Amino acid sequence: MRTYPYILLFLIGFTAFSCNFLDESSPNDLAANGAITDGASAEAALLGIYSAMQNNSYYGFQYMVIGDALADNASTGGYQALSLDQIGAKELTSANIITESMWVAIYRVIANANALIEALPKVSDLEPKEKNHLEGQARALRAMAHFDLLRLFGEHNKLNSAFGVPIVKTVQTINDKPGRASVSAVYDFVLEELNKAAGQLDPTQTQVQYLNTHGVNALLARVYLYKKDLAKAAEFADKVIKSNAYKLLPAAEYASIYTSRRTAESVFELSFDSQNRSGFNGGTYSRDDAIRPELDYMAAQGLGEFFKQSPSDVRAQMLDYDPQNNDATIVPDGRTQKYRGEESKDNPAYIIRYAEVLLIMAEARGGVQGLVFLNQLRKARGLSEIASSNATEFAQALLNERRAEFNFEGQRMFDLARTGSVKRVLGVDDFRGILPIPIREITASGDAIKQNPGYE
Amino acid sequence: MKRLLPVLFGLFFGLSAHQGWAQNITVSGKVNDANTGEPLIGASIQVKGTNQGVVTDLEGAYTLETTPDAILVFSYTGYEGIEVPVAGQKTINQRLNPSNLRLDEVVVVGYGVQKKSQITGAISSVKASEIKDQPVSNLAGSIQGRVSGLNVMSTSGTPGAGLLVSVRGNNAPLYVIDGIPQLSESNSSLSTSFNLQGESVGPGQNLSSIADINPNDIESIEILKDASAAAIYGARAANGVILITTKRGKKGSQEANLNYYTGIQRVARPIKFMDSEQFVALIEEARKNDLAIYQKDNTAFGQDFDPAVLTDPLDNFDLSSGLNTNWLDEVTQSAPISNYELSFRAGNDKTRYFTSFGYFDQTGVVINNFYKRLTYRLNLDQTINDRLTTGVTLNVAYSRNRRSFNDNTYTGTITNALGASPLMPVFEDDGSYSGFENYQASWLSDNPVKSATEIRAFTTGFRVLGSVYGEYKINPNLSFRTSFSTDGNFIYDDQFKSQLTADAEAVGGEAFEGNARTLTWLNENTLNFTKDFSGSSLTVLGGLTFQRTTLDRASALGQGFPPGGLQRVSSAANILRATSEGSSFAILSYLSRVNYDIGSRFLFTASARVDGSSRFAKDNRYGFFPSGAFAWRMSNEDFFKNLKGTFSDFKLRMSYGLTGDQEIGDFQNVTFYGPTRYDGRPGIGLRNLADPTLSWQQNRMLNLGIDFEIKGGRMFGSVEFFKANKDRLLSEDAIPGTTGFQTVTRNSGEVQNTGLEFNLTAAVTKNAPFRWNINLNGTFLKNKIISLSSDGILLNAYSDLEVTHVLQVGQPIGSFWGLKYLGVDPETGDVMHEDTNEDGVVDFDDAQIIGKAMPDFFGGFTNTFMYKNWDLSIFSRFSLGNQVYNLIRATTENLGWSNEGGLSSVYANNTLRVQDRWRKPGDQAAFGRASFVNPNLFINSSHMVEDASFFRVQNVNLGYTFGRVGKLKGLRVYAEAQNLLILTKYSGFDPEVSSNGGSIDRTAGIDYGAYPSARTFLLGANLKF
Repeated sequence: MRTYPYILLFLIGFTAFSCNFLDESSPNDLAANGAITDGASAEAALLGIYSAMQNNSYYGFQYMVIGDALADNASTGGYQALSLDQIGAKELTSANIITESMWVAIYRVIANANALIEALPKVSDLEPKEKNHLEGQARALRAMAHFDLLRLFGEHNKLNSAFGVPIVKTVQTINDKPGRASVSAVYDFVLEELNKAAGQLDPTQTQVQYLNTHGVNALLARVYLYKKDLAKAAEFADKVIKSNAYKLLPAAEYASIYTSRRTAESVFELSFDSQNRSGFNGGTYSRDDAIRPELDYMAAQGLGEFFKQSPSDVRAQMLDYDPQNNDATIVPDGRTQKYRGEESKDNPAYIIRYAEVLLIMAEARGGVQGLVFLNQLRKARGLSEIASSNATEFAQALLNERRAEFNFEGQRMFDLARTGSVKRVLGVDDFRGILPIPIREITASGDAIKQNPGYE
Repeated sequence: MKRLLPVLFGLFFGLSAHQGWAQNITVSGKVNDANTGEPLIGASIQVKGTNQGVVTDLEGAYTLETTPDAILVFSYTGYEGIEVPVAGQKTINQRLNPSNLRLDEVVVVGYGVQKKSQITGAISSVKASEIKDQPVSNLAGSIQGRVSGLNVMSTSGTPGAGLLVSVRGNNAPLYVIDGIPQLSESNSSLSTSFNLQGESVGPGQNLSSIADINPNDIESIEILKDASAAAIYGARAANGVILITTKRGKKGSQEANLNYYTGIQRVARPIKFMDSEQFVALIEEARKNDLAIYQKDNTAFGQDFDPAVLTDPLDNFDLSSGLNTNWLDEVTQSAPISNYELSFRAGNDKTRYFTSFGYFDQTGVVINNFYKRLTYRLNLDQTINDRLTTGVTLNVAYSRNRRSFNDNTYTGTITNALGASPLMPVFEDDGSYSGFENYQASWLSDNPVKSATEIRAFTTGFRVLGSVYGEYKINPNLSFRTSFSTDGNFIYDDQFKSQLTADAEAVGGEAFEGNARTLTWLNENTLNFTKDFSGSSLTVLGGLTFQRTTLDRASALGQGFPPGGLQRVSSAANILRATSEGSSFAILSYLSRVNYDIGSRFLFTASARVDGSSRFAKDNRYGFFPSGAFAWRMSNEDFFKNLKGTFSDFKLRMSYGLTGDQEIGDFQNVTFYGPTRYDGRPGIGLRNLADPTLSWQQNRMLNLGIDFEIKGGRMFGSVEFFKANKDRLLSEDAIPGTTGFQTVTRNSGEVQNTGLEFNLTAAVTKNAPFRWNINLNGTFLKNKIISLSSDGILLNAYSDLEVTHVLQVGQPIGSFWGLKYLGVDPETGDVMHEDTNEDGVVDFDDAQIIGKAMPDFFGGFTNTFMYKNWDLSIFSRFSLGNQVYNLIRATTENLGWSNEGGLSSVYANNTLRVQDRWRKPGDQAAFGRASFVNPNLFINSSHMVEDASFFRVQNVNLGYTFGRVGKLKGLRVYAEAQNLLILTKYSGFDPEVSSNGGSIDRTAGIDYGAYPSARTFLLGANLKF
């Protein structure tokens, strides 16, 4: 029995040793609680918001093309990808995994912004100006994300509709289940936040890979246009134009918008690099010999025919319908060449370009006054000027111009829904201009989120 | 640690007390078998009440010194022991009677051993002799079908692939190899499942933590099935525990074994595809059908449809080329398999060892795959003195695996080959690979032979599993054991896609290299107290264990390689991605078990373990896992005496207890910022949303069992009933996307497994020269979801596939989701599906539960025949009620639908089954009308769900044993067939498929063209010398 003391000692020894034994910490991550403490970490968290926007489901790819495929600009490929097929057939269901991921990816941007906005008051080592600039970007990106959700999943074209999207402006816990806000509430929130951000941003910061003052003004112009507050839309578009920070490239240099980076036409351009690739090239071009199933989105036959009506348009060169270049499986569709660069795959997302600001101005001013801005763009793209026309013709000219300018930049379906043209142009019911809420969200929120009319 | 060492030194070296003996005499003699008179080698003769003893030599002889009044205890495994008083005799020859050894067999339990007769829990034991010489790379493969309650599925035929092991319906049991708990995760960073953008879409092939163990090194495998048996492993035991014990040296014996087998493998059940003529006929029929419909009513064809695509000749799609490639033949082969093993096993009073060398070499039945493994082992035990024993266990394994790229996914070699057109050649006339873009069948993502050859994906593993132990007898009743173990697993992945491949053509070749290092250290300390009282005995175990595991991983991806065969990432023009990350966890455990045996009639077991895990937050990191069991050996009761002639043993068992599960990965309870980058600058972004209250998953299990033995072992078996409720499930729960995340890891939901198992072994005839033994085991299993955080959770087996599975209360886990197929309309040839919501449109909104992956009943059946020197064993397995969602059929039986690839191209070849299709009104056909433009099928439909019940003749082994030949102690030669016959209605390669590896039971049972299983024929020899 003389060994018992040894055993006792042994147990005591181990117990002492084991006090901290179970404290492990991850070498890869920072615990979120207390991660943002100073200017440097706040700056890093801001970059985190931009990085979240790079998600493949958001500005990393899908958000920028789904609107083309749901409308008449793009057709779909993929190997038995039912979700892609649905998009191509314009018969989206609530079980679509592409839109399901998109919803979450956009709210991820909002979650990152909320975390930064909530932590900022505790950051003490920043000048007020720097702090405001950080907060302004976070607010503006959060507002833009809400607006992007609204025009995708909400009845953005019905100002009295109850079917907006959930507004999330606080850090969420796993038990939070916000329901949908009304469309006007979302517009109010987005505009209030963008206006606030416009006042917070440092006007000397003008890099276009970050959301700067001009970018926020351009966004304000866009949102007011969607809200049909044309005076305000014109006011903010005018601010961007008057800033003289941007210009249209000559027709001969048009293609450089897509081959160069951050040209004078870009107001807000989300940048990528070879370490941080976007999905555009892989999804729309992939490789020279690509066959149809290898691509997610192809240029629809109809888009090619649309450009045939205006042969001098320099924008037609971005499309390739030539069977010589394309595999036979792609014909009669073609491929867009806006996102070439098979090796680097660092194609940026053109979130707002100067051309859009001009077209917002044209639409907001309307008729005679607006024609100037429309023709300014047409001239730069190698087209003849349009003479004065009636309102219907002008609206159609604008819609055509937008199609020519922004194909494969995600705007087509929004434009058709915004102008009430879904049924007329696509031949499908108007409710299809708005996407169904992913069924996953309805289930996961315990029915706090209701389905859109037409999809119930 | 510092203050521990002196204590340990003290324990190891300071206490070698020794007692002396006086007035000794020398006793010698021989020990023989009472029936045959053969000398018994290695029989033990012990002086009663001491630790002193000897063993007999090769002639059965012994000599020992003892006191004249001592009592000698003669014992030998498999014989009844006897006590003989010396009474001054100098020669004692003793004959021993063979015993009814079964009940005295020792079974390994957690942290100790127990006699079979004293077991109170549900433990199945498989001995080496039952599983030897099977051509399996993974030891789990050798116990397939041998044990009730255990379902082992080979979900892929890939050489070296992991197996899906489930104990009583719970996947991924804890493996404990010679006392070292294994990690369940696959360590390879090489994902083998990518989509066309190169993003990982599924886990692909599993690498298994037990793949580095040479099956021939194994002495026994014990499966701890109920809570009483498993709870001693606490927080890791919820899915059952599999104890693997390797061979150790034996006192007195000395033997060398050389085992060898070699053989050939072929695809067991190839799928038959259409030849060129049949394929062209199908497509032309499809176009003709479409044209007829178009001419009648063109609304289904869209506005811009040009009917010319239905009549214009298709490019490269006629029989003039004379091509008729059988792609399955092109990518599969007859492949050799062989195994070499040399082992030595010896021992004397002081030193005992087992050492082995093994080499396993398997070529895949798909071209360019192989798995090779070298293993070394040394198990050494040294008796230092009466009190102290020490030893080492060391296993070193080196493996190299050329893996099948995109195994188990729809862009893999097999999957590509399945849809490839017979009108496409493998090579062009100039010897180059044919370009898949230039031929029909747009299903392909590359020429299958090219991708199998030009994508070179290797995984190289190096594993060291070792431990040292010391065991000290403090007094006759109390002993202390401590062990230090290390498990080092080093995995190197390298994958090179040559510039010829479609995957890397645009970037000039692509290489990926990854290194993963997993290090575990483990210290276990146990005290064991045993005391016999009059008629009863008490055993108490107490222990303290520490384990820490760290994982470090780094990888790099480069593109653009110069010519000349440079393939390492450093040679790349662009290094695109580099990762380096780490992870770790620690477990601290206190464990205890009490066994109390009253007169061999009442047996009580109570065990408890407290586990603390770093994976949970401070407040809820400790879990308590108790269990209790009671057994009543009725056969030892007086009232049973009359039955004793029939029932030599009859035992009732009952147990209840709680086990846990912490397999969620490290650091899941904390919300983290992870590193991100934007614009070339480093940032931080939210990585997850955590539930800070995350804690153990737990399994409460009730087990009722009967063990019986008839006529001294002529027939024996057991029947068990169990009911297990697994709750606080660690699950990836859906949360609203408004949080920015889709799922959170939290405790929610409850699943119930109920089942009935039986196991019966009988000697049909045991009279020489002809003996016949049978063993039958079976398990009825019912799995049911009791509650969920939200009902009706839809899941995808692959992240880019549509919903394939659902979790619904009242239904089993892994239920398939899709439309209900109603057959073919004999008038139109349209396939029909149920319109459950009656909205007039058949679409995915009409989906319902259409099947399940889990079997209702499974088991194994073994017949062993012995006639003189011949032996024959036939082992079969069966499974009933399991289904497979055979999604690859949406391609290979798509009835000619080709719109996916554009209307100028043909999509994919079809299987011969499609010949039974609708051709004209009135046809009653298994398949619908061939259609080119619009799909006449629904992918996620019960049409793709097949009954995968099977009866499989798993192993037939015919051997002949030679007696002593010259210096050889024994020689057995045998011929063997593995996977000889599969009786099943399933149309794919193998009914046990689960394309995503199946370890995730929620999305199990998908077939997307998994690697085909092999049929193997072998010749082998076991040589003893």
